[in-house]
Amino acid sequence: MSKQKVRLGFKGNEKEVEVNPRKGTPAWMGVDADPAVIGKDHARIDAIAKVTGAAKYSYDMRPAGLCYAKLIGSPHAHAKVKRVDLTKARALKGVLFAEAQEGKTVRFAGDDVAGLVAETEEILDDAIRLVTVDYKVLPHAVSEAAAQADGAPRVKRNSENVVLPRRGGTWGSLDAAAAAHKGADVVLERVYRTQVQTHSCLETHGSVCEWNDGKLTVWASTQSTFGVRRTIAGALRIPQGDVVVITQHMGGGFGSKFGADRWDVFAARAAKVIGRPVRCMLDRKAEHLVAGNRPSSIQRCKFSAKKNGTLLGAEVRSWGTGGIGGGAGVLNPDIYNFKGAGRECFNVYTHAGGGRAFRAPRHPQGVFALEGMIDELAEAIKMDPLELRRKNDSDPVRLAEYEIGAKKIGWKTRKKSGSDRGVKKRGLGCAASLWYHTGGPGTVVRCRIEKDGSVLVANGAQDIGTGTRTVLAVIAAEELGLEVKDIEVRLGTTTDGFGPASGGSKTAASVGPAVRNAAYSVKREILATVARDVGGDVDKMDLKGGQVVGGKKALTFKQACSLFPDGFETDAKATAEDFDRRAQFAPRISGCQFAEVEVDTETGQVRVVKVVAVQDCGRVIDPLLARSQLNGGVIQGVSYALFEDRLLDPNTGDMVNPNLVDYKIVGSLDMPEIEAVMFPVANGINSIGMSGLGEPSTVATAGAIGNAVANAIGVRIRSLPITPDKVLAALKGMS
Amino acid sequence: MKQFGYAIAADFAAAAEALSKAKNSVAKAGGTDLLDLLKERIYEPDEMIHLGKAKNEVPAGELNALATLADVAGDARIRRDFPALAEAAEVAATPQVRNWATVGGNLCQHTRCWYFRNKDFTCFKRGDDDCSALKDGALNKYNAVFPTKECGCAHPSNLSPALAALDARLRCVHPDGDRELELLALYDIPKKGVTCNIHLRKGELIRSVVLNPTPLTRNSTYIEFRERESFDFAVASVAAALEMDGDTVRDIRLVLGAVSAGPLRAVEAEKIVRGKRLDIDAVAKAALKGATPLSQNAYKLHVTEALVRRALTELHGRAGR
Repeated sequence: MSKQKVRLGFKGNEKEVEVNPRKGTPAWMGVDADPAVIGKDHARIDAIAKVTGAAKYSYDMRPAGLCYAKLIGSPHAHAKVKRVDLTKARALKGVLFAEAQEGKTVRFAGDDVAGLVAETEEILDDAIRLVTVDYKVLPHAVSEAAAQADGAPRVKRNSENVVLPRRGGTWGSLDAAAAAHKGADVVLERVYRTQVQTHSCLETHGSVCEWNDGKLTVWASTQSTFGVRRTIAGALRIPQGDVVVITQHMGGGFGSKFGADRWDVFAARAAKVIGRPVRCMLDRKAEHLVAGNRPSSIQRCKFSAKKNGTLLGAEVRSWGTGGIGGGAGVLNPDIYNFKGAGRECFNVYTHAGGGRAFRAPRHPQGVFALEGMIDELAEAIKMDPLELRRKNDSDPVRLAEYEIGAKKIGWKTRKKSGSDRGVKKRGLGCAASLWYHTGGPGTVVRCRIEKDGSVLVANGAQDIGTGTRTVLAVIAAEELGLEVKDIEVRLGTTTDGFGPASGGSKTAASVGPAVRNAAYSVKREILATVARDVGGDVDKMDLKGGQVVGGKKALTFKQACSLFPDGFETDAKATAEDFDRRAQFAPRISGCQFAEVEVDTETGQVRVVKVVAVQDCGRVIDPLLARSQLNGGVIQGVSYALFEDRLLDPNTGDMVNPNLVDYKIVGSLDMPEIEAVMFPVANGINSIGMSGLGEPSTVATAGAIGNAVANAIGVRIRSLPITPDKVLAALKGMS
Repeated sequence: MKQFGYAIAADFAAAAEALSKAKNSVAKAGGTDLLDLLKERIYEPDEMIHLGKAKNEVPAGELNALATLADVAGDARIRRDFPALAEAAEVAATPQVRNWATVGGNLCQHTRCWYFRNKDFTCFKRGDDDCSALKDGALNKYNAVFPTKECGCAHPSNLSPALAALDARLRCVHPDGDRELELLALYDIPKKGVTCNIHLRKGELIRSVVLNPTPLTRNSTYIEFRERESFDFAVASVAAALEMDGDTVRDIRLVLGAVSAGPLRAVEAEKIVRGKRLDIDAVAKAALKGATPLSQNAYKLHVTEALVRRALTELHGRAGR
């Protein structure tokens, strides 16, 4: 350990702190660091492969002799499987494997009752129609209300339908929040609702499984190669060492693809029995029904403030459903300095597909209510809502971001709510967000150079699609004084070093510091060898612009590498010491978004005209990719705010819109102009100062849009998605 | 989808002949609606007759039923003489769909009702006793506001209200004799077990659309409202044509789409102003008289009313120019 002083923060708000770089690792980058490659726009290194179709997704894998598998889902939300007749399906030529789950109680529509494997997808489809299932249909409850009604059927055998989870169910103190209302000039009680949103990954869930000599290869569509290796080995009761998981390119996960699922295990088992590779990828309907979702919420909020804009109490009681799963809590982040704040979040079990983590779990729903309440308080005390936010927020980053965002959206032109004239009314709204520094230790990165100057950076984690490959190349290029094109990055095979799951926005912030350590260590070795063989003082030498600089003799990087006839490699780890959990500049990541909307008051249609997103993620490695992430988060947020809704028919419990026509996702014509602004902060979390971005980018969008709609029409829609029927009902109720 | 035989028809007469004789056959033009129905096994034909390559020469001035929506939207003569038709074609679905979907197929397409398109649910049109969209608690915000007692389906065609407002007639081919149909006569009320509520005989095909340009058709428009701009179906649509004589309405056509099992001509609303001054609010109110919205779709009345006002305001403006 050697102590190092480093200046953290951003221009206009800096502080000096002491850090302890571990021996053999590089110095930490502060606000005055002036990197050559990091912080410049770089196109995705796999962009051309992706747009030409050369990039191979797991869905594209076609090992010789590939067969196709499918699980058959129940059309009933709650039923007992009495008998499954597979005779006809088995008799069909080309059907290779079939099994049924007689006696199973299905607890949601889509829950699997049988599985088939066939030579071709066409035969498989025909075979599925030949399976007859005899169900004893049982009463179901698919809505929060139905599950809480008197005499509602129990969803889980060992639990009530409504539970307060021990973990994450409560936060703060509801008593303190209630007490804090004392002395308030305004106390508002409101109910906010959010819908169930499905992940709708473009590449559906699933994998291709192949056995060779008792070892299993799984080409998985996953955001955690090592998670799939662990879970599938566990399910099959084989050593993890006998499993290799490969994910070269990913068609979307958003939190729903962390481990091996029932269909993956089925494919692996079937592949072993029939001695041929088997692919089991979900169809679109199953993707909606069984592969996870963002749980709903009904948030009863009681907030209070003084006339001067002092926030007092914030009470939130929420009920939500993640179907047969949990995780229905909301997080109204403690962005503001309330005198007292508390929350309790009940989970309501229903006969519906289980919820899974979904891009910033609990946050978009929590922010929609929180930021709606802040605007409602501002309206009640006749204060500009942005001013109320500033007054109660002590985060220097967000306060600076507000300045930028307000200017770019033209906040000064914001009118009094409901005062815009004409049939189509414009409005402005804003919302704040926060996220966490989530990178962590454990990642092992190999950096290898060859005699000819080739550089390989390898790790077994996956690129979920955010551009991890490129980000890692940028970091390695920076350390080795090269360009991004000089670095080859190999990701997504579990035979390489351990890497994290892409969840919690932690991939880049976990692997990045390890890449820097590995490249730094390779650099030290190159410089030491050059110093020894060619001459020079190693402490004065560096790799810059493709050259060894500061040495006795000018050498190119390639010439330096030629001193290693067999090349060499280093495996470097990022350890706990490489992450500063004290988060010495700001404990969290901050962001804010501003939205401009236009509401057609005769048809109820909301059009999002523009979104300005200002976001911190620590040091920005590749601003082009960062803005792309921010755009993606905003787009998914617009979609959540206006369109997406998993609709279950109350009479059957089955989903009425399990496709991508009726389950509406924002399309190109509905997208707003997006101004994505990165706000770099030297945060001192790790040697680079980098944090994650995938999740925070979508936290504030729906909240900002909800507030902009209220500003436009003067009446608030407290329910997502904000669809024309709701807008018209609200306008009618007002008049 | 189930496996089926596939034949490419040489011409419409041969196709009609083959279709009328076959036991369980289906005609395919662009296929943009049909393929979905095959995948969901709403249709399980033994035989498919492809019309896309069939010879179908139609007299000048008639619109070939095999013309794609993109053809229609891009036709300068149609835009001049029948703007409602061009406007209806150009906003349908997506560019990709418009490049394949045909005029004939658009008129004969099936309802978007999600209870119809998913065999997990019961559906009157698919032969069940009841309609899932009419049940208590049903999710029916996109369904008809003029439902029948037995079925809540709404017809999604863009072209049908436009062509109805343009007094179009359909020329149909059948082995027992060709005939002409008024556009509105194509549509039937929903019947049990009849997936597509159109009045065509078994094997009968629409060959062309007959349109006559008049001052009325030249001042016509089509507007629709949908929740999403990219690839969505109309929640409500209105096609209208207006011919003015000074301040007096010489003639008017007003047809509503997506509100019932077929396009709905608002005959009574037209009567209010024909030969009189144009009172747009009165027409808009009258257009939806008699509607019996379902539990979740009363908002469609407001939307449709707004569209009627917008369409007539637009046409009144154009007439004055």
